[in-house]
Amino acid sequence: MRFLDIFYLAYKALWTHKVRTTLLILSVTVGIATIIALTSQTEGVGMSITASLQRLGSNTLIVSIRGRTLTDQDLALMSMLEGVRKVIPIIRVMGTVNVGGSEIDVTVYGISAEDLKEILGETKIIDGTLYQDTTIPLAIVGHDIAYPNSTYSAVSVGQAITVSMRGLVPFAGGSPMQAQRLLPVILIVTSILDRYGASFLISPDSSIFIPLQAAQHAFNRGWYDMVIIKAVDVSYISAIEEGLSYIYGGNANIISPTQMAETMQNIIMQMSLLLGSIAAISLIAAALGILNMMLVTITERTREIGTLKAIGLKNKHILAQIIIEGLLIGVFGGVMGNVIGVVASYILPSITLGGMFRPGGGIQTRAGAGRFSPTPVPAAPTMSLSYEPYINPIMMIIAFILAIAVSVVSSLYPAWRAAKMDPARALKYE
Amino acid sequence: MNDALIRTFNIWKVYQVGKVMYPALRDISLEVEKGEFLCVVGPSGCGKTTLLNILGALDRPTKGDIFFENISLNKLSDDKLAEFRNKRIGFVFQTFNLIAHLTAMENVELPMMVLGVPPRERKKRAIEILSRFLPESSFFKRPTELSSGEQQRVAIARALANNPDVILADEPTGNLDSANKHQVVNIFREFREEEGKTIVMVTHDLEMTKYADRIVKLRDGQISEIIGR
Ligand SMILES: Nc1ncnc2c1ncn2[C@@H]1O[C@H](COP(=O)(O)OP(=O)(O)OP(=O)(O)O)[C@@H](O)[C@H]1O
Ligand SMILES: [Mg+2]
Repeated sequence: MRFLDIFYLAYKALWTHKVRTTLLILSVTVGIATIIALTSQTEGVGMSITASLQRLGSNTLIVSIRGRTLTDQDLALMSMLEGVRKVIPIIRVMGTVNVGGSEIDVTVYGISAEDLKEILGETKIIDGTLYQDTTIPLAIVGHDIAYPNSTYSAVSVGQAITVSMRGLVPFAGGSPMQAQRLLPVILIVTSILDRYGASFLISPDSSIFIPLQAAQHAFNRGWYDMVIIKAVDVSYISAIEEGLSYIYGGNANIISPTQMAETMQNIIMQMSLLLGSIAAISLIAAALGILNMMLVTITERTREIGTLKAIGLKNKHILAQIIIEGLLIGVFGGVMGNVIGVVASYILPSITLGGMFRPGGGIQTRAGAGRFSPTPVPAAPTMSLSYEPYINPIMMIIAFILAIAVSVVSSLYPAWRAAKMDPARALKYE
Repeated sequence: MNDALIRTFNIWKVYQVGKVMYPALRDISLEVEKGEFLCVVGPSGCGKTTLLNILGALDRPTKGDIFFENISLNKLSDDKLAEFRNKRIGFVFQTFNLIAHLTAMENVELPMMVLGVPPRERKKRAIEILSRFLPESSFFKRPTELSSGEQQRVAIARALANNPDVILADEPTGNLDSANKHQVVNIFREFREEEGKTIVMVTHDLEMTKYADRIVKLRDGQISEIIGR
């Protein structure tokens, strides 16, 4: 007997029981779609985080010192380390700005004009021009501040905006006792940034950048919250880290975006694995469904099987036919699961996280915002979580193979039962 | 007398029902001649179907030998028996037993499919056989769309597909009206007359036995009488 003919018989047998077959295919579809839809979320989040980390460059270290701020002395010290190309001082202040009648959380970064591109990568400007280094409080405004609800612009170039600094800021790098409340600061908008999307550490979409000297003036301070060190190239990174630890001991808070990206990727992978396994459990239900339905079907088809044997089909032909029936369910379920999974991947974020997402924005997690924070900790700064689900083709293949494996495995026992039926007895079956 | 096609020697078939051994066939020695029309009759439960299945290599005797021509069926493996049934035996059942999800054509093609006949050839042959029994408009109907008589004729066409040596029919007229009954038996007779093939038919219907060359009467698993020429 030709394999194709067995295939055809299996196909015809399935096609007769349309409802039953559809249900079995659906049970596989659901499992596969869930796997795809869930893992694509975590992978998407992971990709966006690592991408934003990598934007800072692999030759980058972000440094702050526990318990105190950074001074020009520190900058001088750091630039003397071997392999350091550049030391970028940054002032960072949390606050709110009133645009279009609503208060928006912002982070104000004081950073010199030429260093701006180091943290933004390429500068994408919608309107206006970048500032020059000056003490005038010129501001580059992030996209989400200028377009709080994505349609009309609430901020335009040339306009003055008032930023109220939240919380208390330590006075002159000293103790919390000497903290003073900051006065509102007026900034003049020189340009508006395009959307940067997902970001980590520094999130341009919800930030305002002003010249470093302007920040020193406006906030009346001569120290910095963090420093970005650019190495000549990646190979110096660990040496610089060692140098920093040598100088500052355990107090140096060093973040390497590359390392973080690796750690994130690891975490995300484990999340994917966890979510994938949870989704895979629904496949066990599908497997039991197929097993049960197949056993029922085999019993119903006892006489048919007897007849097939009388006609001359061998046990292995019967076995093959039933397994192929399972295989076909798996193939259809796998294909449909992938298709629906891909669609669901894109729909899912807006359904499940709909309330948490600002349209076109992201989840805003502000460590330290509105809270008394004596020392800025760059390790937990602004995190903007807007992402595109990423559908891993390897995941699709794995899910497809899983669909087939599950349906074939659960049809093995029914197939074996059918194959070993005694033909004479099977023909007597009422 | 012609040569024997099938010979059985002291065949027993014993079923175990719970702890009790139940002999459905007891010491059956029978010769089925080539080209004869043999009827098997007897009360319900006397072992007619059991005997027919053993003659058709669908079942194995508990004890005793069975030869088809010179082949000892006892010595063949299950796969070999399946091949043997496919090539040399045509079964016809009381309940027709057409495969429900296949069309009339496909049902007739099935034994040829198993034999490995290429599609074009087997379709040609299926049409050839079917057109003797069925209007062409019914070729692509499913069994449920056919009348009982039509279904049984499709089943007979299927049994004839691989040009077997013998047709084994288990009460083939049991579910048919009078006109269809005679039509079915006449098909068998033609098959025997024109092609010299052998028919073994189990029947309850004494009217049908008039077509037979010999009648084997079974009682309690034993041959009680053989009426013949
Ligand atoms: N698989 C089996 N297990 C146990 N007993 C069986 C089995 N098959 C048949 N029998 C018994 O063997 C005897 C003969 O059965 P068989 O089917 O050959 O009878 P039959 O002559 O064809 O009857 P009917 O005219 O009703 O079809 C019956 O008593 C039946 O109960
Ligand atoms: Mg019977």
